[in-house]
Amino acid sequence: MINDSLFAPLPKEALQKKEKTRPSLNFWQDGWSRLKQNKMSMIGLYLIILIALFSIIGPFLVPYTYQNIDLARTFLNPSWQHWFGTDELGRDVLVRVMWGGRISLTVGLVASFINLVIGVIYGGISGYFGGKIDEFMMRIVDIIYSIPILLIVILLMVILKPGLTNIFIALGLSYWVGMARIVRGQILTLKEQEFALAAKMLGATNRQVLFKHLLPNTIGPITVSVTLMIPNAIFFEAFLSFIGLGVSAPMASWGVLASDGIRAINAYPFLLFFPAFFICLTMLSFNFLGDGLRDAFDPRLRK
Amino acid sequence: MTKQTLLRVENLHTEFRTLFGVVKAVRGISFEISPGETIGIVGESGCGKSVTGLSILNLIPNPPGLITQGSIWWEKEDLLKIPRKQWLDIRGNKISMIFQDPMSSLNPVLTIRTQMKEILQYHTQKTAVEIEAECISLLNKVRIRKPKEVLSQYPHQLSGGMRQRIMIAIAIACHPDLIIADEPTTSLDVTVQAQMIDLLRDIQVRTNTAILLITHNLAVVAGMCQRVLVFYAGKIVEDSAIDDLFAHPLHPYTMGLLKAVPRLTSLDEEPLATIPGSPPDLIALPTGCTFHPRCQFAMQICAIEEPTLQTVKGRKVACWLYDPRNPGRLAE
Amino acid sequence: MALATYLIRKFIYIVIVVLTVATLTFIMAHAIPGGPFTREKPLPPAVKKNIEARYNLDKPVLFQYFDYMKNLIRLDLGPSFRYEALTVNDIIRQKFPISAVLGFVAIIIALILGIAAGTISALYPHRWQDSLFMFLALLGVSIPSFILATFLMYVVGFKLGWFPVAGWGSPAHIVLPAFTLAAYPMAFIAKTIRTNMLEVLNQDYIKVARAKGLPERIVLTRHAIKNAILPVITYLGPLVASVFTGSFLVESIFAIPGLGKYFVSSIYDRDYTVIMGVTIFYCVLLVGLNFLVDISYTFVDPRIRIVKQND
Ligand SMILES: Nc1ncnc2c1ncn2[C@@H]1O[C@H](COP(=O)(O)OP(=O)(O)OP(=O)(O)O)[C@@H](O)[C@H]1O
Ligand SMILES: [Mg+2]
Repeated sequence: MINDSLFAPLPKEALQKKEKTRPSLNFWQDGWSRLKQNKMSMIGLYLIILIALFSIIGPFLVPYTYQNIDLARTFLNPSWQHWFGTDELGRDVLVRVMWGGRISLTVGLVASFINLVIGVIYGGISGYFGGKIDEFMMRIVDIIYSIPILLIVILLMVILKPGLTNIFIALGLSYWVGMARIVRGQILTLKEQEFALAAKMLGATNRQVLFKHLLPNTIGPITVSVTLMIPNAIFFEAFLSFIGLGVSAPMASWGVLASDGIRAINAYPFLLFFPAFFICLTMLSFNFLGDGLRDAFDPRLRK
Repeated sequence: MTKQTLLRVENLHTEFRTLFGVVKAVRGISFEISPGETIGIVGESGCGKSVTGLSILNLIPNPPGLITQGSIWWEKEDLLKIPRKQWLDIRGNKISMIFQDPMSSLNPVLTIRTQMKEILQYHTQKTAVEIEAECISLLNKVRIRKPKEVLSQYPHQLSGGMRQRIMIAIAIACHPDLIIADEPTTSLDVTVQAQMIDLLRDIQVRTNTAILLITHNLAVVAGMCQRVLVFYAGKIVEDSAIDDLFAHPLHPYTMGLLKAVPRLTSLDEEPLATIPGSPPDLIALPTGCTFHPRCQFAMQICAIEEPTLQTVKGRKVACWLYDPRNPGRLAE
Repeated sequence: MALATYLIRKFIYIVIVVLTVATLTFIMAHAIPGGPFTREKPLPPAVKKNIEARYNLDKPVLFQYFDYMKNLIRLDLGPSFRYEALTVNDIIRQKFPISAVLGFVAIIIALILGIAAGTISALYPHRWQDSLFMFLALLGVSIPSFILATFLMYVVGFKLGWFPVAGWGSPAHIVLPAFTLAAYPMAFIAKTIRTNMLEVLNQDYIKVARAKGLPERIVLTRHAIKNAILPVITYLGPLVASVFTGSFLVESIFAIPGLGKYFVSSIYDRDYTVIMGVTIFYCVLLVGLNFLVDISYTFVDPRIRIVKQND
């Protein structure tokens, strides 16, 4: 038990070894480990992957193409031959929904990406330089921000004429203000922190500070915002389709399919059901994921 | 010499279940307070001082926090066993609390009047007119000029010192037997700190209220308290009368704390963290004595077994140096 | 005093926003090939005369622009591009009241149910009430309004027959479209209130209120809910915007003869002057409402008053 030898001094080296340190995780590992604990967002993530696989690989596995017209077989109910039924031109709805997925997901991704680029550059410059430049740039953002985005998109689409590229342009051009604000806010707070000062003292140029030190720290909020932007873009595309400003035939996004389905709702509800189901599922998955990411990357929670 | 006891905390354990693991914030704290006594709690940031104070009032946010063991005796009742309703009669009425940050302690969207009145409304039978008069007299007691005007103002219109005076006024409104003051001066500037301490001491003398004073600042303790509890990593490592503690600290951690305060008479906020090493990780505590990795006298046993609080010459200390079995026991 | 300068500044800002929007619509209208300001186009002669007289298409562009602005300042949005007898002002006067009634009902629904659901969720975090409401809220932000509209119309209106499927005229006609419009903002409000409420419940002053020995009921109603709801006022502007833009679809689907439905059909028709006019109208409306919200916020939250006075 307790004997005298236990009261001998403890050598200092023993202490060093004993001091336990929790493994320090980097930003992504830390966020990822939090995300993994959030069941809903993991479900969202898996669903997104499934939906993407469905849209990308699906068309190769189905013996029809999105433009195969078969006037002898119009408005067929879902069956083993046509899982999702056929539309008014006898085209297979399943393959059209898969193609719709490709288009809608592309719209979501590309529009978010354009946004991201414009928003990060604009907000980064504004926040980094501060002062008069910042004030001027933010006034512009304020002005754009107070105009409902949807109206801007509609106006742009009216001028640009319907079509995929123009949807990218319209969505990309109108949405970045939110992103610019987020980035600027982040940069402003981070700029004051020591590491930016330190980097500057060590002789880094403005551009280096901006891209190497400041932007990586704003990645959390940006990731969240992009994740939530994707379903938004998909929704807007669907909305545009509904008012006749979407992609044009014979291709069809989910939005186009759904708005065609709405017109036939009483006779053939399945024409609306399938595209609507995919739109909702996609939006839901991205929202699940976005909420989880927000919690996982919330800088206030990091220790 | 047997004093009656006002509050007795026995073997209190409080923990927080977080994503990273269980934070054992308080690990078996026992102490008692007699009526009219002023006791200080000192220790580094994060050592469980506030959690102890909050536990006494059952204000630990749950989840994630939970009091897992122990009892808190007040007038022959274990506060941890009484029903919720009874709590309401104790909080603010028998035991009141003053918090660290007066800037965030007052609700920003309510007037001072609303926030003062309510405590009297719930604990006394006074009429509205009497309550209004009482509020004014309370503000006078904490030396606020133009109390009528202040009552109609919102918190943001008042300075930090003013707000803390108001918090003190609220705390003494129902003539409690015990006030828990959790770093009442830390966030104020130096001159205001002195005024606050003055005020508290004055109130204490006049009303004979017991005070549990939680602080970083040993100088504040020196000026106000009869006894001090030194906390380290959720435990009491030394419990001692104030004069003894300053004249002759027993625990190596206390020695370090004292060295960190060069001028005892000044109220300057001196950082305590001049003790080498960093505070322990409460999720993964060091084995044995939690202080041993930073202790200059560390022995083999310190890394193996945690010392308990033992009486040494009428004082209490938790350290192997004073164990009777220690052949090289620090002579005294 | 200070409030006055604040208001004046805000007002100037609004004027700038409106001018910007008007200018943009003008530029856009000129940029459209076959648009209203292209002179070689097949139009009914009466309309063509209207347009040419109205927009001075034979004058230089800059002249046209100032002329256009002058008319805007007189609140004159000009003639329709498609229908000779109509002016944009007439259309708005006729159609907007219907949209306003619908929108108002939707906003009330969204506020009441959203605040209630958010508060309940925050009071029972991670319990079934919370899970249920937050799941519904997620559905609310995830289901596009035109799908929800069609679903409600098909199931509740058509299959169950509880409410009229489409049209306008009786209070029963309002229920389904108003609920559809309310869904998104309601979900958003519920989520916001929950977050705010949880944050407020963590504040020191809540701890102080509990330490005073107040009953939990008072702690919540007096100290927590007001603080949690206040920020929702700032959401009123976007809320109104969401309801009005939502009305484009919802009115079209439920065949409600409001401005939203008309706007969509004028997009189909490429009735450019109506598109421009209605866009400007909505912008002015929303910016104006935002202004009102700002002002009311400064009166409701004591903190803001001081901040503004200080700067
Ligand atoms: N709500 C909570 N959730 C998780 N951990 C908590 C919570 N509240 C306190 N803790 C942990 O409990 C430990 C003790 O905290 P406590 O507030 O008692 O420290 P303290 O001694 O008062 O420090 P300070 O001097 O900084 O006020 C800290 O390590 C803290 O991280
Ligand atoms: Mg504390």
